[in-house]
Amino acid sequence: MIIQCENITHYYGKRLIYRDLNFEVRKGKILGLLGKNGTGKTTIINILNGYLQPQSGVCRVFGEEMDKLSPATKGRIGLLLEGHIQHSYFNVRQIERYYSRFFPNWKKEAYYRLIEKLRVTPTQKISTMSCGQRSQVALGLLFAQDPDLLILDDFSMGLDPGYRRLFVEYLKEFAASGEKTIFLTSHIIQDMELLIDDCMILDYGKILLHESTNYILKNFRRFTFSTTTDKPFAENKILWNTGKAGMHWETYSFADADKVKDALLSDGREIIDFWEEKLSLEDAFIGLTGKY
Amino acid sequence: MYQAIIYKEWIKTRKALGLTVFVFAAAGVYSFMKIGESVRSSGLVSMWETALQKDMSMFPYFEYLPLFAGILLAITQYAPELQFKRLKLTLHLPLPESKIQQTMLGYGFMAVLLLVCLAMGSLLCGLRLYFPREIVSASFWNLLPWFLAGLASYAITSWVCLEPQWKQRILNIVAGLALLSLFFIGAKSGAYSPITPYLTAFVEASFFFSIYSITRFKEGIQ
Amino acid sequence: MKGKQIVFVLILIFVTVAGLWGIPELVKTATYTKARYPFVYFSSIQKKFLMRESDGRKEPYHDDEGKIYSEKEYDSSLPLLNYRQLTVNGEMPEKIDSLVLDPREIRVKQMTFRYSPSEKNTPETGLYIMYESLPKKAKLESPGDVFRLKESIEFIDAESNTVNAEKSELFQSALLKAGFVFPAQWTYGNLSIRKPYDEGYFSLDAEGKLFHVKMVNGRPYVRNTQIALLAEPAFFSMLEVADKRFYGFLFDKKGNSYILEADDGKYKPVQLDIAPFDIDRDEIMIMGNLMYWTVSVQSDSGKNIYALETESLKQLRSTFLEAPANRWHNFASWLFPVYLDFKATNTEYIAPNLHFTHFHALTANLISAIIAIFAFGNVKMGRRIFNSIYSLVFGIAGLASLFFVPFFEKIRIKDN
Repeated sequence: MIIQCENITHYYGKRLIYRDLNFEVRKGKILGLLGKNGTGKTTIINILNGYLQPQSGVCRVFGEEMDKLSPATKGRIGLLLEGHIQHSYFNVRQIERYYSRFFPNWKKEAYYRLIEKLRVTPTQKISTMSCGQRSQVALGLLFAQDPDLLILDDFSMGLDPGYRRLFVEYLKEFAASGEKTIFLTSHIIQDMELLIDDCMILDYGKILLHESTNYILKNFRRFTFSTTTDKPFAENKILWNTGKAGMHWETYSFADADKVKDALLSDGREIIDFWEEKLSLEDAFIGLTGKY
Repeated sequence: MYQAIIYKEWIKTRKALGLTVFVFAAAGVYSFMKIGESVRSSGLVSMWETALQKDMSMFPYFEYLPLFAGILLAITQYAPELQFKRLKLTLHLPLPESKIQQTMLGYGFMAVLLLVCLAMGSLLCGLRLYFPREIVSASFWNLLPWFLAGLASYAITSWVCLEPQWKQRILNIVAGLALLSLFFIGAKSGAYSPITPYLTAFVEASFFFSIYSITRFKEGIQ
Repeated sequence: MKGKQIVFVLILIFVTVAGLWGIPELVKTATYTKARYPFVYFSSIQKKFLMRESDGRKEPYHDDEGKIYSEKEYDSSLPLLNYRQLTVNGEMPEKIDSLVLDPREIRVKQMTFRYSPSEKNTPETGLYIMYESLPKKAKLESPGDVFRLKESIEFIDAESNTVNAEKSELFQSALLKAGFVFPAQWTYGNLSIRKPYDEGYFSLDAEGKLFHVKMVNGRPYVRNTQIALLAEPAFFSMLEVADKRFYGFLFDKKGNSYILEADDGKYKPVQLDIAPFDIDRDEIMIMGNLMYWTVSVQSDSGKNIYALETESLKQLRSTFLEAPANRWHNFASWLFPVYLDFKATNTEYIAPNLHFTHFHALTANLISAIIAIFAFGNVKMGRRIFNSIYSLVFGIAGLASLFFVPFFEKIRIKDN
């Protein structure tokens, strides 16, 4: 077990962020923490790294409590801050030299392999680079560090599709051995299905779902139908976000078509034009969290 | 690993340090030009008499220079760390957090100390060419509180800069200004001698103040 | 973080110190009024103290027995002070008590002297300037060198910034010959070139003997004054009086005051017939004329005023003026049982001074302690008690500093 979080409860002032949050990340997994803006993804990352004391609960990384991580453990964790923040007063060469002193297994080539693809000079200051270029520098540094656990906070933020895809491919390659664990957050779901093994979807105050990506892609469906009345449907355990979408009605479910239909018919109305579709991860995310 | 942190601090501060050294040197040269001018216009003897009777400062331009140098250095060192919370990266390095902190503060302290000692040394040595040791020593006492203020302003500014919360930062500024004003009570040269041990103790203690700010940062206060 | 509690306490203490000084300082700036004493002068006519109040009252002139004077009566009661004006108006008496008044004599006997403890309690450079006491020209000339007098006497030439060995040796041997024992304890004189004549310096040697050192025709003039005071001399203040009757004022370590008279090459201390005063705290002011000296000694509690007979310095009359009430002291005695300041009027030195005002200011501490129980929101009992005790001890400054330095765990209110 690489990460364990137990009963995390946190408030900002009086606003509840989560109550009794529990999850684990096993070795070799790529876990995506997905959620809309403001659901507390960065807050989890901060708690994990010991930069925020939750009101109660504890997180352990490599078995150590989050606010007492030993230097050795910190060396095993690669951290990407939201917005690919780095020490941007360094230039490309300086920052590599700086970080190389801290990590015994520093892989200089891994860093320069990425940098070579960028059209930057070795003496270019990071602060003068574009967002995409900066993300490559940050990523290159993480690969050179070669940590056992990568924690990436909203790595796709501000990246154009090309860079995002590039990032995903590098991460996949990095994790290929099965020895590396990656914990990442994102509010952009596109491309994520290529990368993450497990999905943890966060809603305001709680975890909506923690399942493998495969399971979601395989089982989670959208069902579109028409019905005779505009009366809203009662809450139902197997149905997610049932509602009217334009002319039609939609509902989402992990259950098969028959069970869904039964559930819809339970209040005695008529269901017509009923059909089901497979979903991309992004559509599934919307199905789970709703459009608003 | 500690050299790497010092390297980082150097990259952040080298321009500010260069500027400070330049301003100090310029102020020093200008001070001696002024002394030379007085010597040429009214003679050394009269300069000596004025120095004895009026207790005028030989280096009035240095009153606030160390103070501003300390503030500038602390800001260039810590503002980038607090901007976008880069301090998280720094504290995430595989070293004990307290050691990281001490190295950063130690770098700044040594930089200000070196600057202040060099400035003090060269000003007083220069003065010794024209004046007897008593007047040089009066000038030393005249400069000492100002130069100590440079160390204190560095420590206080670090405390303010590293504080994560704006409300608290303003309270720190108010308290810091009150404490710093102790270094600028207008007085005769040498008048500071009874309070100097207290001020020195304060300067030393103030270097621990930013631990408070960093602890608050670590607790996630914002 | 290790030691964070210590750091918290450290910051709290320093902020409290800043508060113990800063808050009263602000109140002082807002309320301080300078003590306004009347101007007091001993009347050679009435033989009483005449006062002129400056607080804007209608009838400002009175004597120490409360009798009111008109301005004209007041002016003519002090002929030795107002002789110019009275002479112009033709109202100057020819004599007082059978003493025939000579305008020139009135002028040369006129004398003012002030002493403030900050003259003694001040950093000294340890360098002095020796003028020629018998200058060839009418005014004093700058000698081109300075001297130090501690372990030995050394003259330093300004132009070359080196010791003038010859002149130093000359004075050194003169001092040794006169019996001066080094190191000197103190040396006082008047460095100014703007004075009518120069009498050099008075220096106390290691054995407590007072020496007079000056330069006459370029040669050292050193005399052991051989005076014996009631206690060891503590301070000498040179005063170039017009009639050259004396060199200046001497104060001994017990607070007795003397003038050091010049008596045909001999030195004679004449004690002022006034009560000893605290030379480290009290100020003295002397206004002398042909017949009487008016001496005021001002302390925190008030002003002692004496009239002395000019010739003998014997006391004729004395009075006491209580210190006027000060708004700042009133405020302080209700708000701050103790406060800190760094600059006192009785010294040039900057040092922390803790002042105790009045025990009834403890009420302010008690109120602070009660506020501290409730003012910091929902915190644990232990913290409440700490806040309260801290505010009780340090009063308003303690309470303020608790606001300034919040405790770490304030944000982590346990809700279970």
